[in-house]
Amino acid sequence: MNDKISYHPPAPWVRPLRDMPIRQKLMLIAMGTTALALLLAGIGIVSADLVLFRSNLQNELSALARITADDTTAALAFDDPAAAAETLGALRARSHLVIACEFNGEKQFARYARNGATMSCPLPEAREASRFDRHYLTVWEPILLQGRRLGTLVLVYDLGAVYERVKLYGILVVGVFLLSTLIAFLLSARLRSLVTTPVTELARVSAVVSKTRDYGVRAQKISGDELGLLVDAFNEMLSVIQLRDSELRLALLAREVALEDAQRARNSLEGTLARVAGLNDELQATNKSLARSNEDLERFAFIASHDLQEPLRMITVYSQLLVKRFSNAANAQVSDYIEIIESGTKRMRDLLADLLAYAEIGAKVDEPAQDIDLAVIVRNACEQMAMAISESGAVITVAQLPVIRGFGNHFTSLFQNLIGNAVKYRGDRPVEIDIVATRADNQIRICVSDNGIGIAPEYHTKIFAAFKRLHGKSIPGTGIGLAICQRVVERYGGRIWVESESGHGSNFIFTLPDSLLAPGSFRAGN
Amino acid sequence: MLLFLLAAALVCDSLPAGFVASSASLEYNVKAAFLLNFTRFVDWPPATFTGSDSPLTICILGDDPFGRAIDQIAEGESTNRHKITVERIRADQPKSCQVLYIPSGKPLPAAFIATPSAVLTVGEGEDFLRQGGIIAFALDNGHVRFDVNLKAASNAGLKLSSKLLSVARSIER
Repeated sequence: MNDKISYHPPAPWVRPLRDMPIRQKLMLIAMGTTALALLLAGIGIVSADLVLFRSNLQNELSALARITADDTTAALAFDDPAAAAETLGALRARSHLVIACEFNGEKQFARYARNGATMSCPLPEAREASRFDRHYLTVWEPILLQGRRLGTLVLVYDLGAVYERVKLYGILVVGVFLLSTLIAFLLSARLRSLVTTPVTELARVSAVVSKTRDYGVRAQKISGDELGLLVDAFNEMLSVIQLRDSELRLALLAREVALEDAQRARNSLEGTLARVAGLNDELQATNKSLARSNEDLERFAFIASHDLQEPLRMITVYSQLLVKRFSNAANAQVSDYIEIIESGTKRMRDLLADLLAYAEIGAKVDEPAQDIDLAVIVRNACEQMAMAISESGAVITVAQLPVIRGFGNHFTSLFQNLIGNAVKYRGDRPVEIDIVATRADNQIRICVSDNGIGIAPEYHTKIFAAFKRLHGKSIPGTGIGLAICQRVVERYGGRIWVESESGHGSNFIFTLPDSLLAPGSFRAGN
Repeated sequence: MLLFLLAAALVCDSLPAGFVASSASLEYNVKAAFLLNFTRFVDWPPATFTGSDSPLTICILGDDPFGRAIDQIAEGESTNRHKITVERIRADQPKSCQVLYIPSGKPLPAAFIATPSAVLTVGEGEDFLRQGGIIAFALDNGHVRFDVNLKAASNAGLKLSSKLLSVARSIER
């Protein structure tokens, strides 16, 4: 089967018909077929009648000749031309019979001629029984008596009747043709609306759809035939298009909304970004000014603590001179005052030293960092505090400590402060200090624990602020120690905190990033 | 007269070529032909013939006016498959005849008047019909014609064809 639809261009005479409206086409088809059928039928009837009529006429005339011949046998047998003529005269009733003759051999025996007919009888011919020519049908009939041929009867028939009949038939056919054509015209004028009305409706609806883009209209189904099916299919198609159209509109709408949202989000993001950039700028400016003021402050602290030491040393030196010179002479009162001065200057010296240390931690170091063994650092720190340690009878246990990259004096200060605090805030029991290092989560974790008086949880963060002291003057201290510790740890990217409860000792824990580890110095599990 | 002769010759176109009609017997030649033709327009009762091919006999009573002409005319002829034969008979010795010709001046034998004789009696003149004859020859302007007594035919049990009647000069009923 060939699925391709082949298109043959129409014959040239069809072309003008193609653009004709359907109602005219239908009319043309109805009228054309009717007219053609009638014309063919008419031609068929007339020609059949012509042929049949000729043969009928021939048969009829032959029969007439036979009867007449039979009727005249006696006249011929008994040589009575008058009787024969009388018999022939009876043929007068046949208006188209021109002449009739009886021959006795080749001799004319009797004759009948229509009024006004002058033609002579054609002689009998043995060869044929009848002959058609242009105007006449001639019949020769032998006159027989007991099988013997007595003579011949000749009849000549005028074919005008045939032509008259054909003419009559022609008129009749033309009349029927005209009448039928008229009836066909009237009938098809009525009936064509059966076809044209649904088609016109379809055309109207499709025009409306294409003009208004309104896919909600529907064509009215008028008939249940193929046109009805077409209308159904058309309506279904419209439904599908309508659905698609509304889906498309919805999708378009959704897209517009999304686009708007995106635009809005973009706008707000841009605003946010601008704001963030502004904030960033502000932050940078603030940072810069903070750094500057910090630097200024540190420089101030450094200069102050450094430069203040000179006058302080003078006060100390001269107050000691005063004590030496006037210790006997002066009364006890003077001696007390001088002691107070001395103690004040000592405290001030300590403060300035710590302050200087604190300031130094933040300062830049020109030398490169070195590998430092924390175990060595701890040992040095303990040696520096040997008097206080031995006085308290503290037992310090140090597990394996790592070698890290950094500056030794920073970590010396760190451990001095932590160990010093543990010794300083001891309870009634003999002091025990454990220093343990572990490694986990890319961090080195070092814990310095003691069995001292502990710290209540509400102070766990406050203690790392500078000059914050919990115990007033009962225990000597500058209040800077833990601030120094925090500053050291934070400088190396770590964190420091305390885990403790009042009366149950303290664990000071700090972390350092393991990127500080000297290669191969401290493996996990050590 | 020539016309008459010609007509007679044409009526009997089966006559042998050697036949030459003498002027004295021309009238009887025509009558002989008529006698033969009468057999073709008459129906005999079926019992007349002993068989389907038994002969049909034309009898001539007494003096024969035809001579050999009638024999020549009847030679080889038949009507409805009955061969035509010609007999010459005398009045005192009747024979089985279907057609009986009685020459002019002779009375019709009584035997043939009796009904139903089934014999076609043919004679001369109107008197013959009055005697009970069926067909009588007559001369009309030199033409041989004949008259018919239909009642006599009916009495004899014969049926005459209407065609025969149509060419009779007169018909007695």
